[in-house]
Amino acid sequence: MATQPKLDVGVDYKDKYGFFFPEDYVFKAKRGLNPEVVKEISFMKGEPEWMTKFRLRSLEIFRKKPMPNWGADLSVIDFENIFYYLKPAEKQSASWEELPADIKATYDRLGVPEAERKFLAGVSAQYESEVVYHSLQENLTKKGVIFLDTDSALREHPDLFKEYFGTVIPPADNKFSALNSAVWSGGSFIYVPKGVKVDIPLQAYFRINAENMGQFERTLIICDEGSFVHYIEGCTAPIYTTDSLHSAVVEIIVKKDARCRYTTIQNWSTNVFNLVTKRAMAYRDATMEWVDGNLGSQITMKYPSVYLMEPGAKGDVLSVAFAGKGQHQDAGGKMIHVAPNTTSTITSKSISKGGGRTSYRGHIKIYPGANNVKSFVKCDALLLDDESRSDTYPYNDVDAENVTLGHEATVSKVSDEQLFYLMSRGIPRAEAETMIVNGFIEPFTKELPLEYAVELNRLIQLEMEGSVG
Amino acid sequence: MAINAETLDQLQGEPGWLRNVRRKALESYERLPAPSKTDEEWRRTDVSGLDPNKFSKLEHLDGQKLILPEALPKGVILMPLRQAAQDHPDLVEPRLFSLVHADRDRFAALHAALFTGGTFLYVPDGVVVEQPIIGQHFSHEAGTSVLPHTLIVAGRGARFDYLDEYIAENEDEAGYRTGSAEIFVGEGAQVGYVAVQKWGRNTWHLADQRAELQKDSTLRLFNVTLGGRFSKSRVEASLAGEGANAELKAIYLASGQQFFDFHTLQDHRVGNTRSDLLFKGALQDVARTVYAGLIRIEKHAARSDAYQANRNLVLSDKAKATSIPMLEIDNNDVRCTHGATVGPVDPEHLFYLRSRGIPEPTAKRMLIQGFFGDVLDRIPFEHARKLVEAELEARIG
Amino acid sequence: MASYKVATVGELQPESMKRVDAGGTPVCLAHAEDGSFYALNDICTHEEFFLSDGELWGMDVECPQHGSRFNLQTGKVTGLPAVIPAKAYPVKVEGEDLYVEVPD
Repeated sequence: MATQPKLDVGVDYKDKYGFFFPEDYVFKAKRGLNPEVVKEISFMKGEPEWMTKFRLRSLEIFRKKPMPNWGADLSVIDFENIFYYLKPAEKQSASWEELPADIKATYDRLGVPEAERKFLAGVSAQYESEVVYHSLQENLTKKGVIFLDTDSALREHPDLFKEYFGTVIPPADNKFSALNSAVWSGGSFIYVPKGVKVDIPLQAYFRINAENMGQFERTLIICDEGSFVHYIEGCTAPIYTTDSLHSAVVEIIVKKDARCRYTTIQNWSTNVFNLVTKRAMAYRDATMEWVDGNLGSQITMKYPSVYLMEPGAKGDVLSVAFAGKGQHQDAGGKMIHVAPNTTSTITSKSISKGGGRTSYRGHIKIYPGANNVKSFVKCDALLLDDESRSDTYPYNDVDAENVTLGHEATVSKVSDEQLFYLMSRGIPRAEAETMIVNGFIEPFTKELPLEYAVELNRLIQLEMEGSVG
Repeated sequence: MAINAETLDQLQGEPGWLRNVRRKALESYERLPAPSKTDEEWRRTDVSGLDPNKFSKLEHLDGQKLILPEALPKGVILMPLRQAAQDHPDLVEPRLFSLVHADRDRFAALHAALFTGGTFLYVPDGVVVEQPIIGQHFSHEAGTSVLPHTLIVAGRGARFDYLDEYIAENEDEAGYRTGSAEIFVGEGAQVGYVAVQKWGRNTWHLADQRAELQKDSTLRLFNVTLGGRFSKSRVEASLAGEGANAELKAIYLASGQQFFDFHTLQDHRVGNTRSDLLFKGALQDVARTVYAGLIRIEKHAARSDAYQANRNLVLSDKAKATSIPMLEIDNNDVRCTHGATVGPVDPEHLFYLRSRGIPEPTAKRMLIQGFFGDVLDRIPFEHARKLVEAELEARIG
Repeated sequence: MASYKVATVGELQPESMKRVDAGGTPVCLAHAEDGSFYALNDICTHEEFFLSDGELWGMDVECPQHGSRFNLQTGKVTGLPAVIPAKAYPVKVEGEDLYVEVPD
């Protein structure tokens, strides 16, 4: 395996995010991937037969599919050197107090209890491959909202689960959705009944804490007619020296008049390969919004998409990517207009520094008969030095009448005028640059809950410090 | 009859070095796989129905007609490319297929192996040709290959305009056609190049144009694509010297079952270079077009300025336009913008015209002409502009 | 409608598919788990790969490239990423011969 360039991220960052605690796992599968490992995972989870079959067939598809011949260089991934399943505790912990002490310590440092106190919402925090801590506020249950880890949902709501699972993203969609379908574990399952509006964001923290461990969570969200939910996914990860693979699948169904917002603030350590498939289907007059922040990781490939299935559906992607030294963020969005009178926007902001590379990759597809569609894509890239790189790959396919599609992109640097202005007011150069970057991504941060906006600005500051000198 | 070494026998009387170039290219053709849908460049471009063996008869060996200005300035060389290969090997051999590579893919190899006709134009340092030079390439029969190749060399400070016109005698003929060009733009030279493709509506057309621009030179390159059942053009400018300036413009009008594919490259290899690309297309009936263009700013190409836009006017709900404007930026001291639009005739404009008693077909025609208007003004010289305007008038009207 | 003889019953094992040509139309001919024969246009409506190279999954055919699924009887999409239904054609069994009817 190739040695990966290390990112010096500064003491503060390491202290806050770059730590790990000793492993103490109940079950640890062998490294590598074969039908036996997949059967073992399914057996350990006590799954129904159809899921075992689904996994085995997905493994076959994974084996047959070639690696993507576009995007980032994934040739260094060694699939045989990864743990595909880890179960950190024997049973789900019902409350914070029951959690093992080292896991609690991890979350203390990440600030989960504060977040919980603040949001007073259900926390489904993922430690290793499975949700270990899960609390759901009573009023959610009363309203009929189901918010479970995905494994529990398969056990407790088998019919609802089977109706939707794998229908938005089939295993054969791409090599990594096939991999996830074979070895998935954990993730969130949310069902919001008709007319129910969940007024506090539901959230989950994800954390990788074992060397060479893969995380393959699987999230399924169903918003029934007229409902609303905001789901927040936050990631931090300890820093390790060898590569780690994260390959999630997120499927969302937004029914008539419903709205779903899915926010991600991702900050994987810089050795993680983050290869995620996220897709939503939006029906009549429904709205799907992806708010997607990509920091950290060595390579990210992620293009949240919305299939606009019926008239009046609306899709939004708002994406921010930051690539420092040795990092490649290949991110973007897809809007698939199936029905007439549908609208979409994609706004992408990317920042490259210290030799990092950001790529915007997007697809707008307008099917025959999807007339009167409006779609607009705007990409802005900021290059902070002359070692860094920015790419834009927008694919636009229009197959209908009376369509208005626009794509615009600009690439720029921090302007000398802006820097001079700030520095002339006594602000040091590094700080001035950070201010300009924070201003550049402001359209994104203003869509985040306050805590996350603060956190993101802090992360940007750390990234900016980390790559200076 | 299959294409093989014997096919080359149709090309007699060539110098040995050219025979070798052709033989090597033919080997590449035989070795290289047919492009497939899993290759990104060919994903939307289906060539599975193209069997070049059906078109192994080569037409048009040196059959272009060169329309010369009254008198060419001294030192200017203008002749069929095959003749130039014989008469001026020192000028032709080092350059031929050095920009348009013969082993890029199967069809590029086939073109290099079998090219017929085409022009060699050499304008020495400091020479200015005031009148445009015109090469007309005709196809006379169906079922043949017509594969012209143009090689243009502009010396330092040279200035001239050149037009390649690809003309079918019979609109309905089927066949295999190319029309490639290599353009060397010397230091401080100013070159206008226009290609008007009017091959028959059942032909396969695959062309590669590539220009290399030295210091402080300017190229104004304009493509007009009208013919072919299938037309794929790669248009590439390599900005190799500081102060180089490339303007790449095109219009295309796709109707019936036509399929057009354009792949463009603005390659900024050094700093202080400028490129400006605008491809505008109108689509009717069940036509399909693909535009995929890349601006590449290489590591040391600071203070470069690049612009790229693709605009499509879609006039039918069965027509399909794909637009992929791409950027790869490796230097931060640049100015780079690009954009793509796909849209219908503005209903308000249509309503305005109709409310003035203009019937809908006429109103639509006026709007299409209006759509092309701004880019037609960028055709580098008068003769070509008039030709294109007349051609559009006839086709839209 | 025009009817074309495309295969014989013996050419298709139960739960298998075959690519056949019906007067120039590429057809995915399937011998499904219910014992009947079905025909769909063989070109996937998503990215134009051949359905007959894919797999049968109950009464659905799954495209080999991206996993789109179509119902054999109706052509209806039963799984993304395809969104446009496949064209379904009637199949007639006359003795040992299989006929597919496609529009002229």
